[in-house]
Amino acid sequence: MEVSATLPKRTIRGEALVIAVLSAIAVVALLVVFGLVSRFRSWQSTLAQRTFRHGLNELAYGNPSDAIEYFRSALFFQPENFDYQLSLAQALENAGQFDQAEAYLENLWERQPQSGAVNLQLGQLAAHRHQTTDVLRYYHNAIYGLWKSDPDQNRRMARVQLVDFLIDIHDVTQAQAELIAMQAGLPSDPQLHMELAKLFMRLPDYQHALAEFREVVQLDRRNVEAAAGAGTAAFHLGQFRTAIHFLDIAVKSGSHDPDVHDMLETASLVASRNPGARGLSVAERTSRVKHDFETATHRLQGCFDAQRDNGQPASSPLQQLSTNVAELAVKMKRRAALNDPDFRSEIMDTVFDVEEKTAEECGSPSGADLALLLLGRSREAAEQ
Amino acid sequence: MNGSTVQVPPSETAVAPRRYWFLRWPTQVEFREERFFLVLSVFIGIFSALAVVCFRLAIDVNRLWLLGPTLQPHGLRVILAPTLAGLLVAVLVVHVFSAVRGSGVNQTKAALYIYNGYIPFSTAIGKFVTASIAIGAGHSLGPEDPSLQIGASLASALGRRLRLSRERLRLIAPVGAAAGLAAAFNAPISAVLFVIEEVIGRWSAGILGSVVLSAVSSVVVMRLFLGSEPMFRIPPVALIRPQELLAYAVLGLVGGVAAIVFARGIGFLRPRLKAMPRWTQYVQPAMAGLLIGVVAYFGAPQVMGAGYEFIDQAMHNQFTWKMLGILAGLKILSTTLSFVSGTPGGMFAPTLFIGAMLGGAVGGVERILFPHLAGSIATYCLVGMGVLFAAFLRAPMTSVFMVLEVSGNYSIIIPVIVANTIAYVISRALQPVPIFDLLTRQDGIELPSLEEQREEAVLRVEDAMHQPLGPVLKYQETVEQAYERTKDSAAGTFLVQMDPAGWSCITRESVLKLRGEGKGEFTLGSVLPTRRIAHLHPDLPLDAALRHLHECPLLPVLNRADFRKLEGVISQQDVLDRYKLVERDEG
Repeated sequence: MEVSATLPKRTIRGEALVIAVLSAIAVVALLVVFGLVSRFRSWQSTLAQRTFRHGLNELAYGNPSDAIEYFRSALFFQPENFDYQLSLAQALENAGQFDQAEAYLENLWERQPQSGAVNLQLGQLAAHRHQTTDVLRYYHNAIYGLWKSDPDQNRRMARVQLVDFLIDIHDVTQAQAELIAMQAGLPSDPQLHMELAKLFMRLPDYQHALAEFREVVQLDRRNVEAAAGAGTAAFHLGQFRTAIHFLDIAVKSGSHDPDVHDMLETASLVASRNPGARGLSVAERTSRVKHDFETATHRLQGCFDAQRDNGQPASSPLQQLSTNVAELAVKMKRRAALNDPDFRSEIMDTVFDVEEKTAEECGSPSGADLALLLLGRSREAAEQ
Repeated sequence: MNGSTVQVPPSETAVAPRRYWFLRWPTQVEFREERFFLVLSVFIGIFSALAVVCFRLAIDVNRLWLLGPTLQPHGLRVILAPTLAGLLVAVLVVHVFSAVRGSGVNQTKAALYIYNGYIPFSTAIGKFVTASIAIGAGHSLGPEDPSLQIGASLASALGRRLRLSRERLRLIAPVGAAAGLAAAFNAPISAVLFVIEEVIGRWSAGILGSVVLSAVSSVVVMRLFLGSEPMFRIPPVALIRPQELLAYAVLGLVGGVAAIVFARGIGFLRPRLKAMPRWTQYVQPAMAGLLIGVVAYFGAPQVMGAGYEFIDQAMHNQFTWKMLGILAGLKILSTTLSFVSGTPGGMFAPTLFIGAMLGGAVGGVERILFPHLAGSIATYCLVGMGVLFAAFLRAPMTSVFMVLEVSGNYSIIIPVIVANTIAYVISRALQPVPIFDLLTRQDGIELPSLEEQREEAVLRVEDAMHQPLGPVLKYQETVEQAYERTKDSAAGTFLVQMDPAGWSCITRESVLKLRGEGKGEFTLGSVLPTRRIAHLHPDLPLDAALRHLHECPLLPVLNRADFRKLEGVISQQDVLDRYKLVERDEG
């Protein structure tokens, strides 16, 4: 090829014209390429969306392995698509490929650290690996992060999952704090309150659980489960009259849960054996004290007999209680001794001690003894 | 305005109406060729980027048509597509576009050094068509080197059309090459470095300005269409503890050896296939395609095409270390087959693929052996890419910046430098001729090896200088005194220290002549020319002495900190003796 070694003569106007022509060509070329790229992108987008939908279907049908291939193909067409990457991570997680899922999620987190969905999945991964610090970090990010749709529902879901994890690792305090925070902003939806009440029960936090079950019953009076839950919570709190109220509602509303029936029976028994119940006459209180004392005496004797049958010597606490019971029995024979409230209280203390010690040494009681044991514990809790 | 400013004839300015001022502005602006070349570089960048965008589109469209709309193609089409595409490409290369074989880097270099910047425009078209078919059909080649050549070819055509000077025309191909590579890589710094480091081989403000402008404008346009995201979605890279550098050093070692295997495979097979009968050129790309198809059919479709999507997967920990190792090995095999068969396409992408897989595999093994290692698989993949780039393509600086640009993470730089250096040193030791130079030599062309030039020992003034044989004279000494001091000396030329600074020289003959003319009482300062002779410093290259020895047969070599302190002297004979000594040693 011949190339001139000398500098070609070029006028200034000529150079300006060249630049103008080149600019015009560049603009036209840009427009043409823009058109081509747009058409191609549109085609790619259609292919990607179709493939992505196949992936979502497979994921919904529980075939994460097939879903992974579809999502990867969708990403091949649109590598930067956030939703495709997130779904791929979800599918990988569902397929048990946690390391692979984490790699994508960390990448997404770098791009959108405030994304609730990404943080939720990272939280789930951390929970799977029992990395408590990361679990708290990611779940809290998810709870306070940004969600594209249903933010309230998604945030609640994230908090519920976090509470599940905390309960599993027995971090009751943190779990309780999360649930109380959740309780504050809960709308008047019986289902949500029911869910929350159950979580409180799992802690267990009967006080808050009772409040939530009550809320549900108020919102939906026919809710048998809520009534049974409220009754159960009240029963565990030692609020036997409340328990009877709700358990009775549950039973009358058709609850066939044997536990509910048992609790109602026990609660009724406790109510009928409680000499400290309000509105009783002195005679009725005295009668209940006597009755309770006899029950405790029989329970103590039975425990002695059982230990003797097993060839075990009676323990010293039981022997001490036996001595106390004998002394009280002598004092009770005095006329009008039971009219003294302090003496009645002393007797009931001994009754509760007997039930507690015999439960420790001879196993859980039932019937009236169980009622007295629960009564003693509830009184102790109330005093504390 | 200075003297070179274009003067506007007064009559023209006088008659131009005020409202037409915008028509006059070009005449008031100085458009020297250098500036015009800079403006042109921007246009080269724009056109190259548009061409590269279309090229990538063409590859994607071909891939979708030929291999189907799935990430991992399957069925018989994975065998048929590369085989039939190989046949078609072979026919096109043999009958229509004979200059499009190979990667394109050497062709651009040859244009610069041999053909005065001439690359036929048909090369751009041929490369576009054949490489897009081959890569789209699954041949194990990449789009970067073809993009480089397409850019160079466009630039060359534009330069010829605009009748640029020979010097500019020579440089315009590398400017286009930088634009093409920058667009293909979405990495302007790496493209500039590669072109300067491997194609042009020298730094100067004029070249650098044009190359940078074209690369930047190219990347801007490319991002307009294909987005500004980096090439790879890199998961967060963990900060590296100093002890972990050992793990990356091992990667450098393995990468260096892998690069040797790769380079030697190509170096061994290519001349043998070229030497086969002419009719085999029709079937060689098809056979390569068939073998790659078979590899893909039996479980490794990842080796098909450029493979960037699988690099992405490797970085996201989607493969086991065994699979990564297998993929690295299969990719070396398939790329070697594709390349030596003469199928048009580049080696950049396969090099990155092999590096990423190898890095991931080595990282996987190391993490099993040493679970406390903090570096993620993505980190190892990234470092691996740099390692292969440094060791196989022999572009150590480009390799470091390329990793930084595609990762957007600076914290990885230390392991990258460590591993790349080790790999580069191993590769240089075991494979003295870099792959691009090897290919040109196999083609019977002797292009300057820029690596050899870089590594060549430079002779300096200090290697040839010596202490003065005769006395050093002062400007205030008289001619008579100078005669007395020099009459017994064996030297023929003497240095004279002038006032207040500078040096001059005088020969024995001049002293005698001045004395004979009765100027014995004249001071040397008064009889010697006022113009001082050049001085040298010990660290200057030896050829710097040759440029000034015409001024005086003996030049002073001065201390850089104290110009009055004479470190030695140097003569033409000293320089020649030193060069002879080197020649004798090398002989």
